Amino acid sequence: MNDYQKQPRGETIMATIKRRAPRMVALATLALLSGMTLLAERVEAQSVGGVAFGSWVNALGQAAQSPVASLPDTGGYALGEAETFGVTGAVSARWLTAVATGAVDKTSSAQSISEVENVSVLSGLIRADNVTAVASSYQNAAGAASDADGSGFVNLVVNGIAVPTDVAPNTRVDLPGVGYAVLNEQKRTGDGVTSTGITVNMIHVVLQTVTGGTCTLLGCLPGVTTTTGEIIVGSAWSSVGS
Amino acid sequence: MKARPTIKLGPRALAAATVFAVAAVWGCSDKPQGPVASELESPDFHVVIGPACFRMTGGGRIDEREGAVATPPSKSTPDSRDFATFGFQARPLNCNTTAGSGNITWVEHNPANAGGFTFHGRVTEFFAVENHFFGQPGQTDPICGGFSGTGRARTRDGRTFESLSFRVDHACDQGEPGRNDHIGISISGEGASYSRAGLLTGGNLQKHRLTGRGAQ
Repeated sequence: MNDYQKQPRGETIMATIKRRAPRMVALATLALLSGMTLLAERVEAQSVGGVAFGSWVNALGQAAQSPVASLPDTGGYALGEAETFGVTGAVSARWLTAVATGAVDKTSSAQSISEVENVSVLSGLIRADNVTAVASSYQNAAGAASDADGSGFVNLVVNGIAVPTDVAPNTRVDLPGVGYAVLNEQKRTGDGVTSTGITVNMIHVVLQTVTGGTCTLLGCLPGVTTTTGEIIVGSAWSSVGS
Repeated sequence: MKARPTIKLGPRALAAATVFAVAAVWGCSDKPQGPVASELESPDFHVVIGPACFRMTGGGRIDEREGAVATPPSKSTPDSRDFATFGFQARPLNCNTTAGSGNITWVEHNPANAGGFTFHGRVTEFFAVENHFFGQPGQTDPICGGFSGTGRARTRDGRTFESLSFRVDHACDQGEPGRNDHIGISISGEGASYSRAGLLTGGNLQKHRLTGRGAQ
């Protein structure tokens, strides 16, 4: 879990799988003796996870995060919302809503949704009327999977240029003099059998500075790129695991 | 992105003379402020059959309104606010009653609805619903969940509605992932009314075994 997802409550605690080895040995023995086929015992998920928030800023000497919805690892419903959120020079937004739901069962599932409206990042360098992040995960007898279907932007503008189409996952956009942004950032975890998870960050800005670097008659030495801050808008994470 | 399977409508839906999306009407007057108002489905598409012995969680997004759509729906275009997102958990108190508990948050983005709004509801009833909309000949219609209660809404134009009633007349888990799941909600009170239904374009609805006190 990343720094911006850690909360005092709701941290996912991954329980161990209950191995019924002695019972299986006895059953296998009976099966061999009787000539019956032993059906493998299905492992059910032991926990779910979900965190959603509207915005997180660690930049320009400031650190702040909009209200977070953090799902207990046994499932349930969590809500976080704020009518406004702003960090001077970094982010301004309105109508931030974060919801996380899920349950542990034969089919365990977790869904996290983040909604943010009237978004402006770095004084309008990135703007959008709406930013929606959806992270959905499930695990059942057939396996485990996650997806970010439903995530998207309304009227996204980057560096003064409107983006008229859906943004492909993990689209990197350079921001000259500032750093870069990853739009519709998606990171997946899990083995796809007993565990799965996905993090969706719709706008992930990495602020960078370049220091040093010099040119002489003998050639040029590159400068050193240093990350100086991060801004995230529209984040949703969900996971199901054993 | 994986291709989505074609969804076949049940015979009742196909037999309907016309199927339109339900209007989204929100405001202090009776004058519609959105698309043309027509019945979405005939009243017997989702039939309450009594108490349910399961609980549900769900969260996601709906875009195209539930209607005579023979293929899975698509997300609205990147310049459109005509979609809604939601998250809920809901359950009956036990298998023998429709008294229930839970919470729902519903966010409507269409500007025609008072600029958009956020609704928070508390569940007081949960029941089983027989879904005829996507039922297939020769097959048993799926059993969905439904729930109702009260809540409050905050509109983007600055109004707050404190005493509203809501009803999710169907929340249908059609398997994993949730692309074929569908949900419908209506909200009313204080001179306002709203309804919307659709197939999920993201997220998932999930039926779970009833656990805890009251489970059988």
